[in-house]
Amino acid sequence: MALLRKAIRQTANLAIKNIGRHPIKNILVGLVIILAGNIFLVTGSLADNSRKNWRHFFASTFLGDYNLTAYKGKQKDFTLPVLSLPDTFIPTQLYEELEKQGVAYTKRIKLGAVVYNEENGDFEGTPVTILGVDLAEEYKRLSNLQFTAGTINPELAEGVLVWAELADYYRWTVGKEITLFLEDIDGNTLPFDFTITGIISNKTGKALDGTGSIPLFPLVFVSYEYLNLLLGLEEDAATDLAVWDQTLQHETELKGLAKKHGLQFFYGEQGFEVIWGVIEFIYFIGIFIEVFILVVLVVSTFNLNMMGFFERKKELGTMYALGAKSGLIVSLFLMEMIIFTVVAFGCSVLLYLLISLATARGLELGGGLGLAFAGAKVHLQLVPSVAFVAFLAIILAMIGSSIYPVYLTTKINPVEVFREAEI
Amino acid sequence: MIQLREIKKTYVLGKTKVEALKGINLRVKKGEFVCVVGPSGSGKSTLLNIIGCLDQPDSGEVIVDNEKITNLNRNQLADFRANKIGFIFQSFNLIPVLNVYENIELPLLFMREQMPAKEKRAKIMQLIEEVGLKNEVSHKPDELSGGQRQRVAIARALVTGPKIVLADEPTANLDSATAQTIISLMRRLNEEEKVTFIFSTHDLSVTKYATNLYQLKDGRLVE
Repeated sequence: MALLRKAIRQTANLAIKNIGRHPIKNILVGLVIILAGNIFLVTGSLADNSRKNWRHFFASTFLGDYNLTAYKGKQKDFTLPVLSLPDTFIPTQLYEELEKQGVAYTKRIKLGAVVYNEENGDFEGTPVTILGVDLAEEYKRLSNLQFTAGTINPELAEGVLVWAELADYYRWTVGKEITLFLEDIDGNTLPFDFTITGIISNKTGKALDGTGSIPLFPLVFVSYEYLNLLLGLEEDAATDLAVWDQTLQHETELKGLAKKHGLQFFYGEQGFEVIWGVIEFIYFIGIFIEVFILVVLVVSTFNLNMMGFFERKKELGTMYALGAKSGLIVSLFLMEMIIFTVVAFGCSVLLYLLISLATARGLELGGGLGLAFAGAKVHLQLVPSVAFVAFLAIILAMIGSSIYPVYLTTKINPVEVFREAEI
Repeated sequence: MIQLREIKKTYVLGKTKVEALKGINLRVKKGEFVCVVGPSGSGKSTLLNIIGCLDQPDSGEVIVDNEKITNLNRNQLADFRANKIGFIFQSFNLIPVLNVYENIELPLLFMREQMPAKEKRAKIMQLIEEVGLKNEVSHKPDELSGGQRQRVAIARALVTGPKIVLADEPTANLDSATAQTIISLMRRLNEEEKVTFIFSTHDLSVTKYATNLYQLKDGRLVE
């Protein structure tokens, strides 16, 4: 074992010396690796920021840290309210299991509603989502929620809180009576009257206020018990559960429970298709740039390897003549590649850490970019999983680019090489 | 030690067939200092390459150290070379990024059994001293003269303790005074280390050191 270690050390020593042959060209390839590494780390961190910021935004504004829903497929999406209750509800057994594990949760009824305009006697706009919640309890948890007008009125059962953006759209004010058409448990679509007691919006993430014709968050909050009563549901029936657990301890267990009970598990940002699309777009752009830079890396490394092969052909022939086997020559080339990549990637991580240190206060991005990050500051952080994937992708690209030159080294015939050198 | 029977070798260069060896028979005993002379293109390198397991004959039998090498595969030949044969090349063939010590150390990396570190260092330093390069241990090949480079190559050929050292025109790139020094060094090491040396040359002035002299002419060997 000690002798093998020694042989590896000697091969590594030779590999390091070989790397030093073309300092300028190697520095250039090293720079491409540093660039590729940083692109991976930056785009990975941006996507992570986007995902985390949105998750935090939704968890603190109107969803839980994790969510379970009895709706199936895309019906978890709040931007496309579903107008019918699900076939089954959250099983009561699940409440017991969550309580046994000490997981904090709130029961909810989520349903699409159609707004009736009394003035012109017609339905208008797109459906809104009415969310039956324990208003007082949830308002304590939803730390990013604020009243822009009015408040909760526990005395008024039919009192509702409406999202500011929705209120602007329909010109609703506190005290106004509104009529929403909802489908009850028997499948009857009926008009129900509610009174607006408060208008709510998010504290942070102002950049998200929609200016288009469709509100981004078409939400109406109503008392859980009252909505249950209106829809003819059982007392503790719920279509959704918001789970509050910022320690992230129960994530795997919750996923398991969701699977066991045939429910859908989703994070806040997945509850809004449009947001999920933004995050996926960041991933897509990142992957596109990363693939491009990897192609540049493969081409430049391939050229460097081919050049190295032709330049060192006589040396390799000499090594074969002195008794080297193909395996050793291949391992020599691969070791050069690995040492070079590890050093260059290390520099890449170091540079990234310096950049993240320089921007430690966070980057504030406005406009469309702000939307991508839930209006919050972007903190460039080293995401270990991204760093691992980046390293793996870069090292695979480097090895991939050296397959053909390495293959050529195994075909070297010392006699031919020496004869060529004489010519 | 070495036995060649009816060795034939033909090369195809473009559309021309070149009969390099036309039935070579040769016997070399342990510890001999054999010289093969002949003009350029007479087949000296081909003969040495076949003895050194770098090339295979078209027909005939090669037995080196009681082993019929014509039956060995690529890896077995590599092992055989690493453990039993040392090479000295006309153009030295040193690795430019390695210093004198590391160049000499290189063949030890290819041996089946690795030498303990202390023993290895002692062996390398002893050879460096023997070839008179004690003050150039950390020099790279481009910092050495032609003669010094060939001394490194000689030490490199001997470091694994081979049974045979093959030197293909070791003095061709050296001036005559240096050539004499190099051949006399090889001869001294041949006597001290009891290693069989076979070297080729077209410089008749260095043939006086040989214990056996052969002339290669038109693909045939004449004693």
